[in-house]
Amino acid sequence: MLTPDDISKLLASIALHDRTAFDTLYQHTSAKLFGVVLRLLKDRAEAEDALQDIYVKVWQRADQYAVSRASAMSWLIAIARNHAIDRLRTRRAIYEELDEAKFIADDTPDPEALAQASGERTRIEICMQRLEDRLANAVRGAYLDGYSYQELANQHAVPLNTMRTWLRRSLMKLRKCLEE
Amino acid sequence: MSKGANPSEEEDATLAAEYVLGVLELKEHAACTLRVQRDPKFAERVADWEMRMADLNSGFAQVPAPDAVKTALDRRMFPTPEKNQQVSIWDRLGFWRFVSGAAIAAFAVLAFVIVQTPRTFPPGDTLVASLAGVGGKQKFIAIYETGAGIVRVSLLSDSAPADRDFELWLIKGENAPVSLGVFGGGDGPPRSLHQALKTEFTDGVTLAVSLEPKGGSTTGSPTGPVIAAGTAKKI
Repeated sequence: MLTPDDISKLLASIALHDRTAFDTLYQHTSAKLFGVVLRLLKDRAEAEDALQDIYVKVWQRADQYAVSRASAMSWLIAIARNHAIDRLRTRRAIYEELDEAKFIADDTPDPEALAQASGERTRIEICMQRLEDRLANAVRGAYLDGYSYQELANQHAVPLNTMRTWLRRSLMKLRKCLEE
Repeated sequence: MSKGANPSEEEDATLAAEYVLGVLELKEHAACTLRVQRDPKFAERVADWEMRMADLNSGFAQVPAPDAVKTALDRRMFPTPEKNQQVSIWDRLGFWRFVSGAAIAAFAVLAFVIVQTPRTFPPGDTLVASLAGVGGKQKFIAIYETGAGIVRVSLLSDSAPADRDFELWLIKGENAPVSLGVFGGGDGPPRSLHQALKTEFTDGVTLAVSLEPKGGSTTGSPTGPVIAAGTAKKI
């Protein structure tokens, strides 16, 4: 398992186009990023395509990591999520029609998550608990499954503007709670 | 400035949060992706939200990707497959050819020189370093034949300004940089290393290029900015 510091160092080498570093990074991070795109896209073939695109972006943008303050792993996940969301919105996913059988490993928690669950709860979980259940679920649905405002509004059977107000308010509450 | 009074600031703060949460529609999402590249203040807001939400990332399971994905990725990014030691230097340069279109042309010449002249050199290793600036603006390739003790450097980007020269440096561990020669543009002249330097130039040393007054640094150390750096690798 690579430490966050190891991943930062690999990114610095990748910025100088070090292929060995790139291979090592792929070896240690691709399962997590594949999990991200699979969960968001819910289509194996498209997730495989997306994973390739994401690592091409990592190769091209590694030099930008130096100026980013995020941890190296969350920086990688942000690239993966943004790419998957671009694809999701482009194909205007109709999630209701998805065959449940395609949901590979959708709710299997990460080993890291299990470790956290057994120990200290993370700050964001504590803050999420302070939100109404339906709002916390909407936040999770957006972040982990890539649902748009419109899709969440449909799921919760509320008007689009109501969902927008709910989520904006939830985000501000989360921010306040996280900064406490 | 009065506190929290600027509505556009508040809108930006909300937009950054919505972008990171991932609820925006195609056009807005794409516009934000572009804005992150161009607007440092907005990028900072986004980075803040990415940090705030990062703990939710544990909700994504780890799913090993099929090996075929990496194979396809390698084929796409590094067109010449990596083979074993038996392949020619030209083939082993496959990765470096990826660096840029200009690199391909430069390498055609360099690799030709290397391939055409191996018998005149005592047997030895070849070390290659790709030197790139942080912004990727200046690119150099340095090739060192250990057998012959000759180092060559090739510029893959713009020449030095008329009143300046490039100087190539070898940096081993914590040691002070040692000059490997001065050049203005194109291919620097091949340079034979002193015996003492030969033992210094090994796999993994750092090479750097600085911008110096015409004729090179007069102090024996880099005096101008280091514009590119890279690590020498045995090929």
